[in-house]
Amino acid sequence: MADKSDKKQHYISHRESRQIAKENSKAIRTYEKAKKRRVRPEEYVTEMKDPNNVVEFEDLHTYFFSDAGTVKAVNGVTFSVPAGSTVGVVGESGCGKSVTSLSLMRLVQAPSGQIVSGSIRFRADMFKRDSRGRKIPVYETETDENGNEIPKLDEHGKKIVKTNELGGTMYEMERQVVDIAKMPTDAMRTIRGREISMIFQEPMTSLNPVFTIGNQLDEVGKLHIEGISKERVKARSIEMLKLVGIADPEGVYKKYPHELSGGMRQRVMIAIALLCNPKLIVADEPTTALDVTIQAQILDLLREIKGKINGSIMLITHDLGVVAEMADYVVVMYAGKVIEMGTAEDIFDRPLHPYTIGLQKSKPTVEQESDELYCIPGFVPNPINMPNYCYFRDRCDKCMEKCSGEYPGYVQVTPTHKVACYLYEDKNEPAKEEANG
Amino acid sequence: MEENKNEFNPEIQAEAAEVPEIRLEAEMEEEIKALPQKEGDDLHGENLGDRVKALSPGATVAKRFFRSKLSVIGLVTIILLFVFAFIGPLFSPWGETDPDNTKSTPQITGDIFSYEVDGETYDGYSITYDWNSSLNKLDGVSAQHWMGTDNSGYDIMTRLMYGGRVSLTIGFVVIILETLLGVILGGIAGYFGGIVDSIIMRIVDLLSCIPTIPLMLILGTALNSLGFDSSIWKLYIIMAVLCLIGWVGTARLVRGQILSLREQEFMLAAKCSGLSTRSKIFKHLLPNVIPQLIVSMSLGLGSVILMEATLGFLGIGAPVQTATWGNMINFASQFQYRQFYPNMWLGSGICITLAILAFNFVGDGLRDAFDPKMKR
Amino acid sequence: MAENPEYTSQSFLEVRNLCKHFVVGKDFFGRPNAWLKAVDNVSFKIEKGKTLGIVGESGCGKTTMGRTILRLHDITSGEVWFKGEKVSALSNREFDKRRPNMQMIFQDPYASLSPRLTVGEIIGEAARQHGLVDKKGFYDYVIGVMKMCGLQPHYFERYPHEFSGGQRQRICIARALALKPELVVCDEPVSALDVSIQAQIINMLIELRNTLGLTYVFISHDLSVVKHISDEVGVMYLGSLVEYGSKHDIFNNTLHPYTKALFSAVPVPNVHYKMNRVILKGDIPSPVNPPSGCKFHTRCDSCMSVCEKVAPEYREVTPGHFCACHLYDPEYLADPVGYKAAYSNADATFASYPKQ
Repeated sequence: MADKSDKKQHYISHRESRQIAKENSKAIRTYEKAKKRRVRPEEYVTEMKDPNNVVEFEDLHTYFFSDAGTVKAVNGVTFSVPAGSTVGVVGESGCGKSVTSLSLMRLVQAPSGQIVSGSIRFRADMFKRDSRGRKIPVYETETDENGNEIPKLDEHGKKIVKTNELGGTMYEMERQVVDIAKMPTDAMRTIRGREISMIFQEPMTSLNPVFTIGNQLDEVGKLHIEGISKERVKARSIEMLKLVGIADPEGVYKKYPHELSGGMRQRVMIAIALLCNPKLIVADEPTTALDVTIQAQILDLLREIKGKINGSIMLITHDLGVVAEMADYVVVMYAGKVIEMGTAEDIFDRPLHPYTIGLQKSKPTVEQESDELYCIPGFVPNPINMPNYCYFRDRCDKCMEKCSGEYPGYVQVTPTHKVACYLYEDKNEPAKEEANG
Repeated sequence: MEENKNEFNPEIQAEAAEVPEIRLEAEMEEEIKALPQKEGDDLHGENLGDRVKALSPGATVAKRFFRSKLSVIGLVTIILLFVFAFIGPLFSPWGETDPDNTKSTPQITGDIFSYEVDGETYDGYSITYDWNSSLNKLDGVSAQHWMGTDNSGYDIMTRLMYGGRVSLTIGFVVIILETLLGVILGGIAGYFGGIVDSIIMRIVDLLSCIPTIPLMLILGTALNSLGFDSSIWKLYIIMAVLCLIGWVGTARLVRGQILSLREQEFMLAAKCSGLSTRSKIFKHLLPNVIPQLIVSMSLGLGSVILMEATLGFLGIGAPVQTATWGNMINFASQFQYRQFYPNMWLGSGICITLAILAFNFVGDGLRDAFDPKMKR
Repeated sequence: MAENPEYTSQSFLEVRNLCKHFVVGKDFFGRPNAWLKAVDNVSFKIEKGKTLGIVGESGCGKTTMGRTILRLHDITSGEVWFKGEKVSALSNREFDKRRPNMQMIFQDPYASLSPRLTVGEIIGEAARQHGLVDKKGFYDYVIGVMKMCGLQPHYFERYPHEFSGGQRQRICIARALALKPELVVCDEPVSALDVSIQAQIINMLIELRNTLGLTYVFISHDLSVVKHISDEVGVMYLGSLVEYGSKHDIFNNTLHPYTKALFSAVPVPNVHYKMNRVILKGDIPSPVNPPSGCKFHTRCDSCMSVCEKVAPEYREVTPGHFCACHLYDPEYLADPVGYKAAYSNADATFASYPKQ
């Protein structure tokens, strides 16, 4: 029988557990305190590195302080989402792709989950505030007989507020680059849903079963489009339902979630996400829970919509096929780190990192016939107390002596293609040789 | 392996169930050798996988439990109450029913009477000091009697300890019996379903219609007239009846749990492996209900103690000379004790409150600790 | 006991007109008045040592079919013959004795392991109960099976929650194999796993099949996996087989419009591969109220007027290649008008099942 010593080694001892608990509570206290602190806007307004980007992640670290130790779910992630493009984030479960997106939304499960360091820069349209922190409305103006612009008055002598294109009150806006990782929660609330919206994996559970679809759409509209009238909200909701390809939008508006199929619910989720014309849609495994034929419909829809709304999509998935179909840029993550990134052509035609290559080879395809599947041996490592060598070393078939050294840095193979592997250390300029297998 | 498969014969198959096959180990070894050895590969991956230590299942629960301050307070209180009740009497010079005859104290008795002044009626009470009693009864707080003595000259502190013994023991015995009954009947209802389920659940419905306190009042009176009024058996019988109607909650809980567990894939897998009903129930189903049972037991303990107290207060519980917390709080029903001798009933009141609160805290803590969905 | 004298290894497992209808509605007196036809008239045969892949979308009844074959659900009608024995006619007690021979691997490796039993107990319990191993040899036997499935011996005393999905699925496979089965029904064994782990499990399943001579019924929604592992493929839609044939037939000579659409919906990890996609309209209809006529006509892009009224016959189009579609029905093609008239009152006529 398995002897006791193995058991002892396998489980955390009482002392270790106390040690972990102590460290965790200390860390959590520090970060929670930092979160509650009053933050002045100047502290989180920054500059983009590249003005073309909508989002830039830089050296983001998001940790979970669990009972078994610190889980470095996101461990130094750097990538950006250019405006008007689709970025696919691929990786296996536990590689930190979902946590990256949750960090962007500041929805990481607190108190155990904390953004520890790094920054997430987002180009947002923020409300201009007056000295008392209130939003400044824009008033209708007219020209008087002297040619001066004066505010237009209604019959009560009050200034008339302009309405914006969504039908709500127009406020003075300014384009700012904000660091989401440092932002206070209340400021974050004006970004969430309005500027960045999210589509979740489970269309079954992300809609509230006791409210009608219309109710749930209207709620988001009323929250983010201030001063909008009831009729405008409803019209907007129905417009969105139509946009996502629902044949009978008025009928669906009155229905409850359980009356809809999975594909329809996912369409509704997309409609909710599109309601406020967001700049960025984060789609976290939007089609994983759906059947292939429905998945094809939804992917088609997402592609179509991206063209219509002029926004960017950050697509998080484990399915390479979906990424190949949708993404312009691809980021491959493994154990909390980005191991390779580049354009979709880079990743699918010239994959470099052994993990990316293995991942592509291990998926059987309908087209090709093969006797034995290539498989990456071993398991996805548990991201607790990671060693300081390449995390893929133990599963890699191209492992070298060097790999036991420090975690490899990024090698810029072509202007668009970066990889973190010692194999390509000498190729710091355009790749000479294609690594296909 | 190969021949064995080709000559398929149902009889041989049937026999195989009784006679263990002998070819096992040797053949398995061969099969294993025939397979390409994957262990190397796995060991390779294991370096990172196994490097991380996990929390053992027990440790996980303990950790979550001890994280909540309230549940720790509850646990400590329970331990203190047990020490008080079971070890305390060893250090007390007084017994449960030996009156203090060492000195005589005046007894104060009071009576309400009305009197008239100028045509108006007023209420008032008369106080009589009885200096001739040979007992040191209704003594105040002193070094000798930390909480004084009661109307029979018993030391209240000591009786509080003995009372704790009875109340806590009854609590545990009743809740264990209730749970046993509930698990068996609820388990049968949930597992077998159909008509058995219907019958058991209708009995449950019927029993939950019975109002407990009136039933207990009737039962108490009946037992008194049957001559049980000074026997401890009166309490036992009442508690047995409590068990008989108290299992319904547990039965509902267990049935619901088993109904949902029965549909889980691991039960399908057990069915698919052709496991016996006994093993399916006792190895696959019940262990998964135990956490909920422990929680319901610790929450239920409080209510049993409260029930005992209620019965004591109503005077239908244990015989008067037996110390239980319920009996002691009964003093509060007589106005002169309530008014002038709070030391006679306050202690038991505090003990009851503490015990119930503590069991509820522990129950809540356990519920959170066992719940795998709890993230914090 | 019903024995089939014609039993050959060709019909190792044979399913004839299998139906499983769940009661979903009852009237006031408790008499059922609405049924969900999860499995409706399914027939096929598997040769020993071969793998039958069953493909279909969620709700098409493929899981129910797998479970019904192993009698985890009661059979509504139809027959299941296993090794020349009509196992669908056996009593439950009798069938329990056959169970070790017919095992199942479940979809969700998280839900299909009893959380409070150790790995060793999970794997070996049934083998011990069926007398495959005695108490003395238990440990070695279980360790042997665990090694075979790529599990480390020291996992014996651990609990399932300590393992990742891939390892759990290995435990599930070990549990099935510990009973020395000949037939294993794999119900989406890899769909809950990561891509790199999927490849490991698929390779292991193939290896085990080849060394132990197992026969698989491999149920999956993933066409590429089914193509990789199967010898024959059946495509299911709303409880019925719509197309059935050898792997080559199904993938290279696709007949049914649904199969075609299913193939073209699979995203391919290749950026240059822009497929001329057939995107199906609408959702899968509810199996409680399936559409009249051909069940697929509501979503079919080559739907004809006859499809709405007459259910197509499930017939052999080329040898060994079955399809239920009017497009391949010679009777209909010869005389579309007369056909419609002749069958207008008839419901489905599913009499035939694959003969090889």
